[in-house]
Amino acid sequence: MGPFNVQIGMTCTTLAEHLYSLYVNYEMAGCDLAEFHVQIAPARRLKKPFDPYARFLLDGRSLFPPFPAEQALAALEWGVNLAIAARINHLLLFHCAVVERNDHVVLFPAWPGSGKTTLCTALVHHGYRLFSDEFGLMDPHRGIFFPIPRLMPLKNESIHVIRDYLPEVRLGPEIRNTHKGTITHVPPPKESIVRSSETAKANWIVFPKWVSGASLRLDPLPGSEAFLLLASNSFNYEVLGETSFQAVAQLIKSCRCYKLTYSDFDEAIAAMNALTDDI
Amino acid sequence: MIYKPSADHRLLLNALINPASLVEYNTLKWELLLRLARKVKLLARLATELKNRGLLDQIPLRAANLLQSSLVQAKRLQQSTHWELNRISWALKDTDIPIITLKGVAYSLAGLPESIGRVYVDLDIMVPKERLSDVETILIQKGWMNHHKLSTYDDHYYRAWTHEIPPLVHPERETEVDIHHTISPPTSRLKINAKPLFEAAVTARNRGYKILCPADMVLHCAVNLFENNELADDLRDLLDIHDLLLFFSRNEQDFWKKLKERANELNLSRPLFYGLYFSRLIFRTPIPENLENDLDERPNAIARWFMRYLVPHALFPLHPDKHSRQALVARSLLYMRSHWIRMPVRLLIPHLAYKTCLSIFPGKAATSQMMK
Amino acid sequence: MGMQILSALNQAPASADDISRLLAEQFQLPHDQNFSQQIAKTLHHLDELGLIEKTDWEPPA
Repeated sequence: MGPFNVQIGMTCTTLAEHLYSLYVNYEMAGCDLAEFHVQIAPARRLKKPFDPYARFLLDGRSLFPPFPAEQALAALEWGVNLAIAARINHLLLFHCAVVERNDHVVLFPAWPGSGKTTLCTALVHHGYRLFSDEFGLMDPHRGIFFPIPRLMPLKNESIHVIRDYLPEVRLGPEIRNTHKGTITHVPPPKESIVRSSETAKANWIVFPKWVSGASLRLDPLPGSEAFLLLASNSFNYEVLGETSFQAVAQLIKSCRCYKLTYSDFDEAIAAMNALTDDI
Repeated sequence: MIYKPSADHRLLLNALINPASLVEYNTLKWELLLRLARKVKLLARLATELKNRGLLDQIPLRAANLLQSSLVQAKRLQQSTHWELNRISWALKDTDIPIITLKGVAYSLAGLPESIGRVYVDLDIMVPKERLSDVETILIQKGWMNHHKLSTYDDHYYRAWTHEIPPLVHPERETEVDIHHTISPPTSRLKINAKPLFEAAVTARNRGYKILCPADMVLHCAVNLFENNELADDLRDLLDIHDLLLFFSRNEQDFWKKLKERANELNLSRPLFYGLYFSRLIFRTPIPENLENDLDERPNAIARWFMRYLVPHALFPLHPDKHSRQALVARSLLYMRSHWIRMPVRLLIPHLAYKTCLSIFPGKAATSQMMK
Repeated sequence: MGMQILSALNQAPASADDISRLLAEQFQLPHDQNFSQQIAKTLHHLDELGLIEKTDWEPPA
């Protein structure tokens, strides 16, 4: 998965089938070193001994409470996210979506109401290469971003939005009653997996906000505000200490920062195209 | 008795004793080594050893990245705990209460070169027992609070039966502060008088903080490992003993003599015996032959035999995918031993019964009944 | 307010009174006991965080 190899163990055949179908474009790492060893294992609960539950294990340790077995796919994806956030500190980890166009990436930092994953899904089916819908992995010394294209989780209403907007896209199974509601996963386009060793620098930072019925607005954002929003949206900014400060400062200096308000995907994509054509 | 580590143990041990050999490890070995080292919190140690020898670019990139990550994290934790010590000193600066810094932070203050790669999460300090409630009151006044919400039982357990008060934390930071008044629980079989520890304390060279004198620092480490802890995955603590012995034997005059005399004086020769024995056995620390013979109290042959068999199984991490039955049994036995030696039977049985009850009926934690 | 205090002290050490007077002027607020108490509270908090240090230094006459 991008710069990391993940070894997944499981006993559940349904999960295996889902993974086989959704991960079809990924390469097996063979004998290369795996950084993460995770497992979906059955769990028994004292209170409800007959309901099939499962646990997510990282090197044999459970990271969160057991969940109903049918949520295994969602739990696996979350668990791998947690594992990356817990262990990776040689890169700065931003909480944002990252897509590439014209050899540079755009960052869409996560903030409430951003709808970054939905926007990201739309963009990667209109000519943008997916780096990630969740993690901006940046080398703090060189400012280079590493792709880590993975299944994109759509939640609740976004599922219908994408079904309408991109009817040809194959979606994973619908997983209900998770703590975030109903989830379904969008597999990354094949090209973004094939090219996942191609890194790029960032040129634009866009803070998106989906507002029902709103007309499109792309407003420049002062660097200081962008800095604060980006730094507070990082998983390990504090861990890297001074390195983070210098790295984010440099990043802001080298990017154009905007706030994007939209309600219509076509308009948003057109605006992003215009933005990314102008390097 | 020659020590023959299993293949996994050897993988990790070689890495620690002879870091230069790591450039010959293939990806499969690296993958296992990283998982084992992570379990015993020694990733940053490996990282530092390779960095010091300029070998980080001669190992697989994936391994180097994970090692680099662990180093970044270790540095951050060191920075946080040192800062916490700074703030604790600030809070208590208008009092004359002596504060002795213990464990990881103390090793760094003492100038131990290996402390760069050491992971320490909490700040451990020691104050005289009679000043403990003053310290707690002042810290709480100045913003610290209880780190965990404790039941009345647990709170009482801490204060009456252990050698520390419940941990504190300052809401602006996340570093847990453990305040001890001696180096072993008052209920344990070792009856330790903390006063000599305070009297012999020294001031760390550059920073003005007080730390235990070299012999006491080694003794504390040995007591912690062999009397206070369960030993499971505690390889790092034995490595600390090895590092401390090496460092002090090179930098302190007559260190070995002072060490054994102090152990006898404080009745800590038994844990020191184990410390010396296992450090020499596993890490081949160059300890003078027969030093242990000058210790007043030594474990008998049967105890030595059991420990010799059980301890390596506990100290070294379990294989992440296949747990050895032997290792699991050894760990259970040592777990029982650790509770046995920390609390007399009359306290231990009710305590374990209460805890077992709680794990089956969690609701009972709300009641504050004490079992007699 | 905290930022202003840090900024001022970064230029030169000052007494609590001086800072209080300076900020009251800057923000055009009455320099009364209430205000001084607020400043004292903020100073204490900054001291607690280790960003400033209270010393016995006395300003030159």
